[in-house]
Amino acid sequence: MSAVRSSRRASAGPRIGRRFLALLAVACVAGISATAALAWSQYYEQNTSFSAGDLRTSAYNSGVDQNKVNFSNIFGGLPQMGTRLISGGGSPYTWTWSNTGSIEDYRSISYGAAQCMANSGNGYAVYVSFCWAANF
Amino acid sequence: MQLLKSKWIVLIGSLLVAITAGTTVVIAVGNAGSEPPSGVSTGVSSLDRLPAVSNLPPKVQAWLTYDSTLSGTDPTQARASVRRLRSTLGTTQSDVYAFRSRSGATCYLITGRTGSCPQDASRGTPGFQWTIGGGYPGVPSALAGVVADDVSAIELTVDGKDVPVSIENNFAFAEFPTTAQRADVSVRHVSGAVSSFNVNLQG
Repeated sequence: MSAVRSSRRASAGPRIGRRFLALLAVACVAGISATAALAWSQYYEQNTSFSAGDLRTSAYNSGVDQNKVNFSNIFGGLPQMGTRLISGGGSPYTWTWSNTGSIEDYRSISYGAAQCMANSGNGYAVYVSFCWAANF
Repeated sequence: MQLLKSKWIVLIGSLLVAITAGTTVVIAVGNAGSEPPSGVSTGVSSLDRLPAVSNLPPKVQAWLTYDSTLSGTDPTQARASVRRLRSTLGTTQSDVYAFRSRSGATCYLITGRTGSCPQDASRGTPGFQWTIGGGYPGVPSALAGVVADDVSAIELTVDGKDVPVSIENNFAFAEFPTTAQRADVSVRHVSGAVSSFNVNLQG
């Protein structure tokens, strides 16, 4: 009898260990998934031409804190591109403009979307390599 | 007959030489009187003059990694060439970090605000690679950017009012209200030339 008991006890150890490992694996997978869901980035426009006033908007997400635009003046002139963040409510952040071909906007918003735009005053189209937003 | 042919050849040859020489002179005169070279291609000497930065905050390190990759610059070389051009700037008390990319462009970051990493030094307005705007609740908009060695002053007028622009270590900075509609900027070069542009701030 005691032999049976001790046998049960002996087999209970590995069973608990297996359950613990399984739980740990589930927790790890859940943790990784949660991290993946939190860290987000999106190319919301790529390799296209913007005429004056053209605007693109990224998907909405939480904690957006990077909005980057790369562009070039292959059609002539010194056209200006801009970036900003918008939220569901309240006034949007003001535009950041440049004609250098690169804007890296590091403002952040608790929940919102990123935008890129060709200034309505541009006399030339502008080639946009990408508009990209992220929250990490 | 042969002599006549030779004279014609000499005459046409002389004419071609004269036309070529004339065109060259016209081009040279045209360049001498035109705008200074675009971007900051005349030099950004602060990147050579200022001391290296020993410690970089994590977000500055992340910016450096991104921009060195984007510009095809060796990360080790980029890290070694980082300089702090300005400190505690404006309402956000931002620092300005910059490095020279493989192509010779100046990539910069104004901490917590904005940055730029042009493809090369010749992009944009002669003498000034700028960003403008970028205000948000509690923080005014700003004109900021890398100034070439051949620039003596930058003048900013926002909605008809003059706004002082400070330039130190090849970096210009000025703040103005987020409600502004229009900015007019003049870049004064040492040569006396002036490069001007305006921006519709509301898009």
